[in-house]
Amino acid sequence: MSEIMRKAVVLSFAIPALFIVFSYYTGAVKSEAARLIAWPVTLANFSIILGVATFTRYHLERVTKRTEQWPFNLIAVASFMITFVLALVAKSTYDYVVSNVVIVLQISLMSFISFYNFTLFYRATRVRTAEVGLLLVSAILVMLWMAPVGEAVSPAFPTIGKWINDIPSGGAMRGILIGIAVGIIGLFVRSLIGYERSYVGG
Amino acid sequence: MSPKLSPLNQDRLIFIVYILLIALPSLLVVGLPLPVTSLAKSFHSTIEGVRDRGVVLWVTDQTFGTWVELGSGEIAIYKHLFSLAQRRGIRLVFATTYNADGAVLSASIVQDHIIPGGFAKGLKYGENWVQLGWLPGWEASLRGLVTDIHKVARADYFGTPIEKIPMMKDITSVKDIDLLGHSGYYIDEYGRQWGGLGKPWVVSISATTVAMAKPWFEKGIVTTYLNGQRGCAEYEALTGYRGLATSAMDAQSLGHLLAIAILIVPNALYLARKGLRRSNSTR
Amino acid sequence: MEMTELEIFTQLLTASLIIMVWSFLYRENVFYRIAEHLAIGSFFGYILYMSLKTLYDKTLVPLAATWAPDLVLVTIIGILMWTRLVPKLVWPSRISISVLAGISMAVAVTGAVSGQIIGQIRPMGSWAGQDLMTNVNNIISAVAAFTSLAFFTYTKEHKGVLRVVSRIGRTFIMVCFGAILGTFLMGNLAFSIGQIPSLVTGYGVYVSVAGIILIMADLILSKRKMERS
Repeated sequence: MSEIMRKAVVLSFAIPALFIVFSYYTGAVKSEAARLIAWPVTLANFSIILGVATFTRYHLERVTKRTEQWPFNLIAVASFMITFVLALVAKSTYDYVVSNVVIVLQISLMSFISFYNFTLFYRATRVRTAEVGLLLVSAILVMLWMAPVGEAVSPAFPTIGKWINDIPSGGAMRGILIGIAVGIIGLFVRSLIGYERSYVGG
Repeated sequence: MSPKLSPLNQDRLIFIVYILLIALPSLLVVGLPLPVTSLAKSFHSTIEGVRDRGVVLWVTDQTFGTWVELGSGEIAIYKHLFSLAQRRGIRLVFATTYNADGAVLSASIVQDHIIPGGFAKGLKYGENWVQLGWLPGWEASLRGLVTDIHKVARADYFGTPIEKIPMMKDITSVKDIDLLGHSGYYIDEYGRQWGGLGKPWVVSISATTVAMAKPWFEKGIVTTYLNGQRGCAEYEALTGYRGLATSAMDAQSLGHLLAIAILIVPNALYLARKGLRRSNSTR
Repeated sequence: MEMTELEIFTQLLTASLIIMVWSFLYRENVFYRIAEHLAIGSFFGYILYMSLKTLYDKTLVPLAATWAPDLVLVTIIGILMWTRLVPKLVWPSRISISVLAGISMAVAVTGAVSGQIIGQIRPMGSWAGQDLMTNVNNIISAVAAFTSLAFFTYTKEHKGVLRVVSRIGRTFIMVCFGAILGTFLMGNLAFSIGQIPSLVTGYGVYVSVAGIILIMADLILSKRKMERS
């Protein structure tokens, strides 16, 4: 990135950011700051459309160049085009596709998490130290709080599990949350002075 | 596990046992009792406590993934809110800030459950409720919803300009709102933008983030919350609008028992073997 | 009640899609790859429609109606984002992304100070006027918060008092991770529990049985292949 570009990137980050921070803490120019805060509603849409274009270009390239396993890329492009065209010309069919294809497939893909949870428990949780033992005991007690079976076994389990979630775990999480907030502020300051430009890829 | 089973087959065996366990309640209803906890009761009473003609801002920030967990609870919440609108003239503003899924799901609840179920009888869109649709930008949109709604949501889900929606003339920022609420996976972003505004704020949050969200569930920040599918099932029991969350509780219990067994049994064997090795080496 | 043809087709379709995806749990196969690419493609089609609809309703229509300067400016900045698609013209897109990042970060930072720092420290100060159990809990919670923060201090070597404090913090963090692991489970199980009714009720049963038969056949064939080689 050239020096002018670097400065332009930092300034285009800093000017709207400082304007919003200034308005927040002084209460001045609230209306203008509100307009600025509404900009992501528009810019996010443009970035999503950019993402879709990138996706289409990637898969189309693989289809036209007949790269390895290109028929699957063709399926991706075809289903993309069919879904989009249906949204424009046949709304009820599009609604059917969203309810019975898009949603079902998204949930099915996400459901791998539930299966691999068990393999994680089986393979990665061996009580090699007391602290890991503490982690597992805390996990089991919290599980017995969350699931109705815990109360059916003993009313003490939900009480203990909730206490673990609320007090020691909640306290530690509070510390982590404060640390995250300090990290956000640090990242913001670094971005303001130009040390952090990873969000633009350089 | 038998040492003769390869790791791949061990995984497959776990998956088969898990699928059989969670399929069992679909075929044989066990119906473990589900006591309603104080969390669900306070969630219910906080919503009931909205003043007559008050305004509720509800942000459905679910994805299709969280829908299976929180969806039926969301339907019960919508039914409760609409029944309050019928009984006490409460005005409802629905929005989505995280991704488009929430807007689609919100619209489908109204189309498929509220209107056919008679919960919108006597109510008029634009006067009693409005669906602002998807306001991409997440945290920025959340800030905009409580500082200047008209600037962040220039039109509703159906494309009607906001200045043409009668009820939105009086609703511009958090000062006009009596109850904030949201459902979804995350909490930090909402806490940063909505925490400390001095308004009651209820959350229907995925169980996945309940532990991470605990610091927000304090006085002055989140008033109360529903913890995942369990909380939704309790809420369904309270409101009488039973759905998937209630029927999933038996499967959840069996899944949890399997997880506890997988955590305890191999570790017990491991510790026993370790103890045996140690005692053999000291001899 | 008689089911319509569409209802039957829907049950068969949803069960087939679930089985195609879940077949990956057995092993990677062509059915899974088809379902995976179908999922990606259809999702992008859906999201493109939603994006364009939202852009049209919430930006372009108000822009055409009012020609407000901020709307004109944000639309230009948004269009400049698309120059990222042309390798030689990438530089204007960096400005657009910086603007988006700047606004989003400013909103997050102002909220972080009031909500995540001050808002989290304030409840830790409520000691007096409460019963013993509440005070004990408050003390434990505050100690957990303070010591876990100490654990994440990287600017100073963990020696002496800091070492002791960070070790205590580590213990609380392990309890916290255990609680997270415990609550994770319910949320994650819900994904698969929600799919099961489609597979074990109605016409989905036939698809499930067909899937099981296919998997058994593959198991037997691959075992025979292994024995032969």
